Amino acid sequence: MSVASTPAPQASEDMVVIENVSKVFKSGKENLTAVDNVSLTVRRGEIFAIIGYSGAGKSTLVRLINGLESVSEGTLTVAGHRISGQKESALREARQNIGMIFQQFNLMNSRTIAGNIEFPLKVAGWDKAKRRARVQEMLEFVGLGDRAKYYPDQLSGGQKQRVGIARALATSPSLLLADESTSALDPETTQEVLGLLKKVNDELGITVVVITHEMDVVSSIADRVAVMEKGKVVEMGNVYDVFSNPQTDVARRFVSTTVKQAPNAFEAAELKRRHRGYLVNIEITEGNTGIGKVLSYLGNRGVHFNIVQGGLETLQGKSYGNLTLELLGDITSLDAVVAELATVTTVKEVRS
Amino acid sequence: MSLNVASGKLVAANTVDWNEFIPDKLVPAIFDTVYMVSVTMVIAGLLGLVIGALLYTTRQGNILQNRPVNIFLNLLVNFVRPIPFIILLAALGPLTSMVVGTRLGVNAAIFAMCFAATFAIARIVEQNMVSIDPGVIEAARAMGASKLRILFTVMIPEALGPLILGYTFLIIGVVDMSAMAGYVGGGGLGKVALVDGYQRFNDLITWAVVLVIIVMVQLIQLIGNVLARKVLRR
Repeated sequence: MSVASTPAPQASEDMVVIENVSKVFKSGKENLTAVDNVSLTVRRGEIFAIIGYSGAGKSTLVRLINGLESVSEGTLTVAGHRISGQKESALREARQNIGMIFQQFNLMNSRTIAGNIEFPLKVAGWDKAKRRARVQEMLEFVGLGDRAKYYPDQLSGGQKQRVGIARALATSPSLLLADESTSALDPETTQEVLGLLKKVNDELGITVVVITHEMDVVSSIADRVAVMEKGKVVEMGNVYDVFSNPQTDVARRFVSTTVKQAPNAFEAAELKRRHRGYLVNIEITEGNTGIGKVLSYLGNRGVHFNIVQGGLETLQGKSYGNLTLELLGDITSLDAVVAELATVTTVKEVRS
Repeated sequence: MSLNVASGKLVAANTVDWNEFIPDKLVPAIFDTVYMVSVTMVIAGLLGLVIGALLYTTRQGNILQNRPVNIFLNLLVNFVRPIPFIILLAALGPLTSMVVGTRLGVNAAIFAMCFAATFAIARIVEQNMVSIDPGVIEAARAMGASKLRILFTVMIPEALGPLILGYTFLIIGVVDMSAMAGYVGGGGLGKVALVDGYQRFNDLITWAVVLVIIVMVQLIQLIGNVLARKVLRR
């Protein structure tokens, strides 16, 4: 009730504002800090990803946003309405403006697909005719218009998640929380569901917060990303900025799952064994034409090169990656080439 | 055989006039048993559902999480459940005569049966609800559903298949109780088997009653299985 009576502030740019939020679970004498003094802002209309390994606190963080878990410290608002410190009864109304989808879909097996999508509408008190029309509309939106009378156990994983999305969006929320929504799906179905989330964001203008441990999810749909480790946000920013230039080990590890990074010690030893030339690693970033220029004049200096390892990825329409080169030539020329490359990009000698 | 030869009395008692026995004794006894079991299942079924749902929802981390209530209910159920029904029947005597007005007859038996069945059903309801996927409950909470709505429109429907099988199991237990109630003056098939069969050394009557009970139990199990399959769609 108090949520409804709180005057709604002017539609601001911010959908979710998390300020110095911590969540401590008490079990017996031990305290577990699942979320540790996190501050972040999700802007209206964006897809915001929170990436981290299991146990990083990201699932707890997302449950703080819709009040499924209560905040231990700090403040949290969604669309200007305060979530932190509210009673369960007050949170119920707020939750109708926040959809949520889950890793295991969490559909009710005792209800048909239509019955599952209708459930939040019943909770919200819609009348029967309106409910029926809305259920059909949502089924069409997720491409399951002919499956209304099926039961969840008759659907594939991808179809179940689409039902989950339809159910989460039935009451027209302004925010959708996706908790590991593709982790139980195969790569192809993952792309299908991610495409649908993108469509939700593009066509309906719904702000989406995705929780994931899969770099692919972030690189294919997210605008901004927060990297979590041990309850803390360790890096945050535009997806391209964070992943083309990761600052922390955990972010680097995530980037390396999609893009080959500079050789590690083990790989370096292996490369050294197979290549007798001078090995360097160079970073590729969007719009860097300097590298090509340097490489095209190598022959004039009596230096040859081979590409021996590397990877490139496109994020938000911009490419980034790493290439490991074997340079062959006399030592003075090699030094000159490396110095020249260093003026246009980051160069590292590959050492074992 | 040798026993029959040794005792002329036993042989004589092992004859039954079926034309008299079936309409006069057996059929009314079947009705009495069906009545006792039905009334017990309605009353204990509802009370057991309430207590069982409370046992489940007051657990740590569940929607009505409440440690004192949970501990109290657990103690209560564990206090009543281990008492053998035949002893409970006798022990409840004073309470039965206070509530029903008599310790004998069908209604007195129903009171004791309700008492025992309520706690048994409570445990079965709790155990079947434990298997509900917590994710589904979390999803309902995330949609803003109230606790009562979650209990009645999510938890119970999600557990309905196993609940039907659990109730079926218990109806059969209650049939068993009703037969035992015959021993302390309840009516129904148990009384016929005991008074007309066992106490008069008439095995044919005892067997006839056993046969009727077996048929009843088979029918109940069959109906339960069909209903559960319908709900579970498999």
